[in-house]
Amino acid sequence: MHNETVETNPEETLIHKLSQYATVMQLVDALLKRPRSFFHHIQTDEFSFNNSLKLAFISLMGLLVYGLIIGSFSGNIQWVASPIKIIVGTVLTALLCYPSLYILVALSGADLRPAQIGILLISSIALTAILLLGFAPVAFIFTFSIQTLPFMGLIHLILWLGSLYFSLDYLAKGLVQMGSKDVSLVKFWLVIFIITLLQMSTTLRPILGQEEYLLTTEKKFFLHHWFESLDKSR
Amino acid sequence: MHWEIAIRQLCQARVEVLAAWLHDEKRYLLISLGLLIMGGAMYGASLGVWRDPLQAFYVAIKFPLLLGLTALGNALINGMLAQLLGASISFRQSLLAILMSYALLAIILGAFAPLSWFLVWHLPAMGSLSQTLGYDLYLLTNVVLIIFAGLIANSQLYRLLVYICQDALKAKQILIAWLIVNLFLGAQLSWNLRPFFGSPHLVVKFLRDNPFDGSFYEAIFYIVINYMGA
Repeated sequence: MHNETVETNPEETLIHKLSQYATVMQLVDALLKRPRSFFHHIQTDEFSFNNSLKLAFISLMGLLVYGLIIGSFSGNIQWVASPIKIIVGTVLTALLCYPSLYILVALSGADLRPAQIGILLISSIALTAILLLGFAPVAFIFTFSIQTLPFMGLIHLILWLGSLYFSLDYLAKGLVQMGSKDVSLVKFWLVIFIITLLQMSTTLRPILGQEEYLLTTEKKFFLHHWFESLDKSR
Repeated sequence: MHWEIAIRQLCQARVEVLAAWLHDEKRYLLISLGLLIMGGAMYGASLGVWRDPLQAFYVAIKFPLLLGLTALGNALINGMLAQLLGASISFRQSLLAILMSYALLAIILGAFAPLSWFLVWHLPAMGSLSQTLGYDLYLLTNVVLIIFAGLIANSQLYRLLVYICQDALKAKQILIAWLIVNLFLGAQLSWNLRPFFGSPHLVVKFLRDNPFDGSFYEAIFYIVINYMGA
């Protein structure tokens, strides 16, 4: 019989094992309560493809529901168009920003493969979608109270930025836990992501209001579009 | 070596890892060159696309060519300067160190290419009333992006030089000497290989008429003279 000394890392005790076939609710629970477990699984390559698909599903569902609430403001075709645009816009923004995230993360010193960064990004979007889902009743109540487009837009902007604050904070913390030393590069990317997302909402307009067209090729900067909408409502 | 691992190692710039690259020059010269071409082509295409898709194709070829020719054209003098200023590295190793730095620059720029394309999508198009505004905005954004990527690439090169020389002062001197020489040739080569952005007022061409007629420095000289009214 030989003696074995088992060294336990205090951090390990905080890590909850996530099943390879976790249910949607288990993933939501882990995202909200145990983000460190998520980071650990991603870093150690224990995060299954099945769970990644479920995260994508959570994202789609959350964005779809929130999109429906946005569409309910104008009704008619926007019931269908708004959810589609919200999903397409978020996915496109993530795809556009993904290469720069990968390079900036590597520059910040973390040793993460593209797939690991991809999962982290998807989980961050899933968290945004979950939080938006949480805000959905609030947005729904405002939708039936507010009459003017710019104010409704402002409410949605606040709710989106509130959700993004937590989900991007989750992303930044995850990158730090996984080895990023230069947080300023990660923060720089977060700014790029938010600006791209805001611009995307203008590119895919109208999302909230209703126009004669479903999409437009007219080029416009998002701040310009906002001020123009404000002027129109006066 | 897997390309993705090479990209990560270049970005992370762990000096002991990159210094090991210098001992397998042949292999890493090819890898650095490959990354330079890949990243440079992606970014080059995004530079030219505002003017015309054909311009995008031309610049996708010219941008990596500019970086590669600058490194190769200065390979000899850069190697000499490194040795003269106290770095015990061969000519090939100094060429590789510079190519690694250019490859990193190209990778960073290439990673921002999708966002650059997205920006082009929203700028006033060619032929529109505010095309000059679009051109100026695009020019400015890309200058900022190149400065950002250049700063990072050079700071990583500096860290590598400090590791090689074991002396921060020597590393600084070598970096400054290389920068001066490379900017000197690079500016001229970019003049010869112009247009990159593609002026809205000129037709799309791979090179301007008589690309070897005149120099970057002459052009600057005449601009200054004209400005002073001489």
